[in-house]
Amino acid sequence: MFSKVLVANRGEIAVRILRTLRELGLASVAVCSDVDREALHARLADETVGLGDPRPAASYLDIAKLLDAARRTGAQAIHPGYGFLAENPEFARRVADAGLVFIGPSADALARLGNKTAARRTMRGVGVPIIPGLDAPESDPRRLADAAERLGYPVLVKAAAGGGGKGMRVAASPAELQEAAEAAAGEAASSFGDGAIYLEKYLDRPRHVEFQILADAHGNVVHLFERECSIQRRHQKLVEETPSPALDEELRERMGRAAVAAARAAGYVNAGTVEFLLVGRDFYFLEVNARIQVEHPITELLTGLDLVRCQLEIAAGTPLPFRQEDVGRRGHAIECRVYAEDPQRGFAPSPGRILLARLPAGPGVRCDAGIFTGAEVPVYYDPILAKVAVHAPDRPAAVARLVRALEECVVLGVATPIELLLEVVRSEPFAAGRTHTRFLDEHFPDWRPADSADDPALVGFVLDRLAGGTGATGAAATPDVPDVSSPWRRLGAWGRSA
Amino acid sequence: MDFKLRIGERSHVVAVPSPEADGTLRLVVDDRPLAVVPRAGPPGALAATVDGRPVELHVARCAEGTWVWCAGRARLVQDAGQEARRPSRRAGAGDGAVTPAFPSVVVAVLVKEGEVVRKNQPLVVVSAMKMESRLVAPWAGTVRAIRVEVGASVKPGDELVAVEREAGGSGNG
Repeated sequence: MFSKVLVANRGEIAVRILRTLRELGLASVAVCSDVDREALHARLADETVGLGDPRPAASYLDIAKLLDAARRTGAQAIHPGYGFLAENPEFARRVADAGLVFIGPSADALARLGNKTAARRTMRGVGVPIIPGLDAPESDPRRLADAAERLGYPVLVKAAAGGGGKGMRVAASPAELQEAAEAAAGEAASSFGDGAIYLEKYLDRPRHVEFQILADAHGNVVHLFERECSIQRRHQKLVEETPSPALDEELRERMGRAAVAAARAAGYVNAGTVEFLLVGRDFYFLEVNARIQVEHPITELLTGLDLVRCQLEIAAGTPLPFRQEDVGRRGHAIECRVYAEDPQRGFAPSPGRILLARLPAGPGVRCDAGIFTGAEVPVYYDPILAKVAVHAPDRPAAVARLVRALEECVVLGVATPIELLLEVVRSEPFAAGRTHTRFLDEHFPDWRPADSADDPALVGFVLDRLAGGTGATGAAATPDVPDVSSPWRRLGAWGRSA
Repeated sequence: MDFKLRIGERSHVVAVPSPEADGTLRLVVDDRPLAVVPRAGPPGALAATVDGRPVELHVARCAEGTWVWCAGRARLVQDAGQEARRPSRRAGAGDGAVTPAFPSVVVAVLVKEGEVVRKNQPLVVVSAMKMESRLVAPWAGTVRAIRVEVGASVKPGDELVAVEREAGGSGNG
C-alpha cells in the first residue's frame, strides 16, 4: 500500500475520500483552486496544494498541475473522485507514465468504455443485452433514416463519445430525425470534441438500475447488488435506492451475472458501475461508469463495505478478500442529492454563500457534504452540495427516516431541491415503488412550492425581528453583509418578554 | 406593527400586536388569525407553536431579505416596506438587457462592437455550475458596447452587451 495519496477533486467527494485515507493512516494531499482555498476538502487534508486559476480547465482539469502537485508532495497515488478527470484515459496514462498509481481502471479500459458504440459491440460479444440500435457511428442522413425506420419511432440519437445526457435527442418521427441528429452531433462536438452519433430505440419510461462491481488485478470480479436511480432531472440522478423495488432474486441474479460479464469483457479493474435500463423484466446495457459513483454511499450502507478503501486496496494490487457468496446485504438504503439549484426555475444553478448549514444526523443517517455555514458555493463547478443517505431495516422505515433527515437538513442562502425531494419521497407512486426515468415530468411537472406553506416563514420573519429588537430597519438594511449570528442570542429579547 | 412582506410573487400583510402576558402573539396574516406561542427549541433555532402546531424555525438574513427554514421548506421573505429604500440589484438593467439569469462566468463573446445583429442572435455564452446558456439579442440592431470579456464573473442585472435597436424597427424587433 502507498503511504501518501493525492485527491484530484473537490467538494463532498474529496472530503469523503480524505476520510477513508485518515482511517487507513495514509497521508493525504488535497488540491484547490483559488476560490476553494477555504473549502472543506482543502482544510481537511494533511497538505494542500494550490492550483490557481479557478476555471476547471486551468485547475482541476489541468493534468500538468496535478502531476506537479503529486511530485512536489511525494504522493505515490492519485484518486480522481468522480467528474473532472476521473474517466479521462490520457490522465490515467500520464499518471502511470509519471510512475504513480491511478486509483481506477487502466487507460486502455477507460478508452474502450468511453466510446459507446465500441462498448455496445463488446457487450454484444459476451451476450449482455443491449438496447436495439446501431453498433457503429452513422452520419449519413439516409442510412440514419433507414435505421430509425427499422427500429421504429421514437428513436434516441446519441453521441458515441461522452455521457451525462449531453449530445442526446429524441426523434418521435422521420420529420424530427434530421434536426435531432444535427443538434446531437453539434452538442457532442462541442462537449466531447467528437461529433460522432448513433441511434438507439427510445424506451418508454424505463427504470434506471445499475450494478456496483469490484474487480481486482487478479481476475476476481464481484458485484455489490443494484442501485435504482430512476428519479432524475435532465438525465442527472436525484434519488437513488437499494434494493430496487422492481427486482426479485431471479432478476437480480441475472442482472448481476450480466454486470460481472460486462466488467470482465472490458478488462475492468477497480470499482465501477454497470448501468442498465429495465423495462418490465427485460434489461439492457446502457454504459459502464468507470469511477466511484456519486451514489456509492447507499451500497456502502447496504453491504457494510468501504468502497474507497476497496479502490485503494485494488489499486495497490491486493486481491479481493471476499467472493460473491460472501457479500451480504441488510435492510434498505436511499439517498437524495442536494444540489445548489432552483427546481422552481427549471433547476437553474444557484451559486452563492451558504448563510446557514445544519446537516442531518442521528440513527441510520449519513450526510456526505462539502459545505458549512459561511461557505461560498463557486459558480465554476458541479452544483452538488451534499448527499443525504439513510439506512433502515425495510423500505417504509427508510422512507420515514429520509423524510426526517431531509426535514433536519437546513441549507439557507442558495436554492436547493429539498422541498421537492420531500414531496417526491412522500408521494404515493414513490411509496408504491412505481418509479421510472420520467417520474418528475409525469408527477411533478412545473413544480412550485406550496403557497400554503408560507405561514411558518412569515412567523419566522416576525419572531426574528422581535427577538432582534431592531424593528423594520434592522440588520437587513446593511447590504451584502450576511448576518449569520445565532438567532439563539436574539431570541433572548423575545424570550424575556414571554 | 404591520409588515408588508413578499415571498416570491406572493404578498402578505402581517399585523403584529404586543405579546400577551403569557407570551402568546396573536398575529393576523392576510386577515387570518394565527396564534403563536413561544417555546424552547434547540440551540440556534427559533421555536414556537403556531395554531397549536410545533414548529422549529431557522433564520438567516442577507442583503436580499430574510431566509426562513421550516421542516425542509426554505422561503426568502422580503420586507416590501423596505424595498423602496434599498438599491435594486437590477438597477442597471432595463427591459431587453442582455444579462444572465443567474450568477455565471463568461465563456465566449460571439460579436464585436459595431456588428449588426438580428433578433435572438446569440451574443454571449455564459456558464454556471457546468450549465452553459446563450444570451441572445433582444431585438435586431447594432452592438454599441461590449462590457465583458471571457472569464469575467457576471450576475443578474449586469448588462453584458448593449444593442441599439434598429431604427424604424417595431417593438418586437
